[in-house]
Amino acid sequence: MHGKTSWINATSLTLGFAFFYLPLLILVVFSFNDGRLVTVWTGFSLRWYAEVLQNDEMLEAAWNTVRIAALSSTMAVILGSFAAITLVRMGRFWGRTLFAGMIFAPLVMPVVITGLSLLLLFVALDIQRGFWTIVIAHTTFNLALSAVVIASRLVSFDRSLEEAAYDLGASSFATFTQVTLPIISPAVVSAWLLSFTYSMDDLVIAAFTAGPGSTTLPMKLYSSVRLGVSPEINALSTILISVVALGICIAAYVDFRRDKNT
Amino acid sequence: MNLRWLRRLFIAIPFFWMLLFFLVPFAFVLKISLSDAARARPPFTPQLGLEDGWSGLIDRLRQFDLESYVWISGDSLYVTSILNSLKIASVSTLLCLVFGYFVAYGMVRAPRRWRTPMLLALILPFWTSFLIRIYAWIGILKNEGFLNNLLLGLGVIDEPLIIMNTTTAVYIGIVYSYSTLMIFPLYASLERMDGTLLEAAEDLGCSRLSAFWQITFPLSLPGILAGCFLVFIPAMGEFVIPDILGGTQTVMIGKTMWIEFFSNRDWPVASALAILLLLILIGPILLFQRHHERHLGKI
Amino acid sequence: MRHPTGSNGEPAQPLIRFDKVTKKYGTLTAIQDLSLDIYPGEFFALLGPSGCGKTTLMRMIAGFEDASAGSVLLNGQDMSGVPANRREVNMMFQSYALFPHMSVEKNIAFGLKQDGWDKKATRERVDEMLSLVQMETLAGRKPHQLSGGQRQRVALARSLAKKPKVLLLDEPLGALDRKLREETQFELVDLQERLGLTFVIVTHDQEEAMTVATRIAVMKGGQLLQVDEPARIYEHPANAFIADFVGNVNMFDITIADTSGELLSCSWDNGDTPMVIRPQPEDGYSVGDQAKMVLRPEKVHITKAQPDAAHNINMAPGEIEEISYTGATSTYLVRLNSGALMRVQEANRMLLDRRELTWGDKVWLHWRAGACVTVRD
Repeated sequence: MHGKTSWINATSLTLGFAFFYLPLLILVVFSFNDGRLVTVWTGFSLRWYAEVLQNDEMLEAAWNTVRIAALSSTMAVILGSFAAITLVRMGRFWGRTLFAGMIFAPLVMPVVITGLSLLLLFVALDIQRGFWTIVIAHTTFNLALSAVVIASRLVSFDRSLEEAAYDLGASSFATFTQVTLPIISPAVVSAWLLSFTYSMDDLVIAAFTAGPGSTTLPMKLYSSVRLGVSPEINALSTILISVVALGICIAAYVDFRRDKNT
Repeated sequence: MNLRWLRRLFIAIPFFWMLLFFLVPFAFVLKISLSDAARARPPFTPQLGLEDGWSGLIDRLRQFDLESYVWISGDSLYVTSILNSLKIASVSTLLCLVFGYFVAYGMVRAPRRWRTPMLLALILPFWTSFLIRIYAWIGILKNEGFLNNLLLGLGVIDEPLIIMNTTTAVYIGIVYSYSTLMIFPLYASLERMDGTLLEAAEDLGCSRLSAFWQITFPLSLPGILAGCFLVFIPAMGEFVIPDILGGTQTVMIGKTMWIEFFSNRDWPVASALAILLLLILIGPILLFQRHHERHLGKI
Repeated sequence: MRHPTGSNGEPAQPLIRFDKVTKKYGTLTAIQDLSLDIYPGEFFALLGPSGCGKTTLMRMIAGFEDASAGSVLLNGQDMSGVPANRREVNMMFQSYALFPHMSVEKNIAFGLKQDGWDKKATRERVDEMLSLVQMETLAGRKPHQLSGGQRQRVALARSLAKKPKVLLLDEPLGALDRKLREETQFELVDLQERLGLTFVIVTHDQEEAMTVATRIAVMKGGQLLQVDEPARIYEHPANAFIADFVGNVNMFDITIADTSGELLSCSWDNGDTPMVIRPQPEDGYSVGDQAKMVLRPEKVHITKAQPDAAHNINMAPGEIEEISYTGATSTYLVRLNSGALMRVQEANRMLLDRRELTWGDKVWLHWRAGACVTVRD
């Protein structure tokens, strides 16, 4: 039904995507610059990549972040599936409104509040801040994120598929593992990926809940960025952008293959 | 029997997790905001606990006061940062809406085979680290940055524009980081719209433009509302953007809170600011949740 | 039945004229050099299978599609370049396309508002339309609070509110259940006669077309196959496709054996018994011509006893293979002794338990020479 792209739509799309991509493009191009200034091109070089990869502090922070992200998103996806099933399937129970609110609120709550409140909790309970407190903090946020992603898939789930499985003699467990799980698994996977990305990216909550020796990559990045532009940050950024781009391409390809098969 | 226990377990684990790590902490924020600042570690006086028994607790409660709040209301920095946050969040929500509507509308009107690639192209910058996206603008906006070099080179301006470390830079940063959150719900509501409605309007004598205002726009209101909530709420508490792009002259509540907490180590004032921010946002958050349940549950 | 002629017997000026219209989408041809006249006061049906171009044709009248070649005329005026919102033609959409954010009243008033009607006139017209479709009590409802049948009536009222010269109906009853659909068909006919408007309906349902229309155009592959009154289409289909598309049919290959008598005599089904067919004036067969014989199931009689022979009666013996009972009628599939399968439909005038025919019975089929027609190809 939707007709041709008019000039106004073409213009807004072109300008819109240029706005989104030009800054990143400039960033990537100047990561290959030989000079120290990131605004004047002096020649092609990979030296800043070499420097980033030899920066032990940076590498340690990156490794920390990956571990925190993987742990917290795995825990979040498990707990988030429980929460999603509770929200969509369990009907009414005492405290449901409160529960729905607690799942929804962290997603829109400014992170400065979430971060501060978690820090004060850890202080009050006298918990030593460090690696595990960040994991707990991220799991809390990612739990909410995963629950919403999985719940939206469960809502559109055709319940007659489960009824058909029961009808054909499957047990509740078999129905869950052989019918329900395979159908919601794309949502579980995207929930995990979203959580992982969020965790890799978070500065504020991590800054509040981190302790000595548990610096994450965004915290490291933040302290360098505050000092101004530098080609090392460009190189590091380019690496991170490539990882995200690669991830999206793989996800899109998998999605495309699945669409073709069904 | 077995299933009932499983059911309870399913509900209980995430429920208590969120209770402990999301809701209960607010009680501590409230408590600290009512305490006095102290040069100690942790830097506040009364520790609320039951170690002194109930009488001790009541004793401690007497020591609570609104000192931090009085302090905040008396200092123009805090009042300014709250008002400034409201202004910046509102204006940038509006900017995101206008920009996002053009992009979302263009996407819905583009040929169908382009839609998935365009959605993916939107996701890529959005999934890229927040800090990197903000960082990318420093090189563009600073006095000897790309924008000024370009405009000077073209002869449009004679001396560099000062954008970096101003509110303008904050607006640019917020629109750049948050407009995707506006585009997605707008796109979803426009995409869901039945194209024959526009044909029907045209058939009944409506021009293209008036069909947009009478049909398309009202039907995209749920998307507009969702997008505005998604941008406004986090923008209100934004810290990174005003800190990196806004310089010292742009004060926003999130940034002030951060400074109070990390630099001045005044935990009670930081907590009081958090409570105020929460009070401002609780209305929009509840409205958004109701809106979300109504429109996503049904359609 | 109203005919497309003026009061003085002269052919009336067509209200809609397609003049050698071709419509192409890229390399795909949707409409191929088509000419068609639709006259004032007609209830005209465009009938055909999906993808035959009937919807494209209707959308050209509405102004949503332009002809690639040829022209579409409305009241003698070339419509090319006139946008949909400037045409005195309104359309009732297949999905109804009711504006979900507006009440029933607002939906009906929408077209009037675009034309700048004042409040009072709009109010009166909306009330008139509401009572026309008997929706007065539901004026304040939103579309999602209505049943399918009610939505259909609102859509109808909305498209009639501006008193269009032509009302276009795109599969208007497709979303209704069978019983409601039949009732609504009669209501549509009644409405069209009362208002004296020209209705053009697009449908793939031949029964619906036959019920409502005064004339039907049967389409296939972007071309018109036959434009005629419903009875002519049913009883004198122009070709085998129409015969098969409109209603149930028995079709056999025949070879003309004798054209000398009042009736055609032909051989069929490799059989020895010749068949007699009453020829149509335009047939013009000569001996040896190949054709197809079209025989409607309800025009065949089935009996246990052999009927009396007559010069204008065809008969064939066979055995009942299948019976399908649909209440009012029963359909028998009879395997003729010569091997062909014949479909016979009889009204169930007796109660089921008194029915004398059953599976495996040896029966005789007979039909009159005037009951069958021939088509070429």
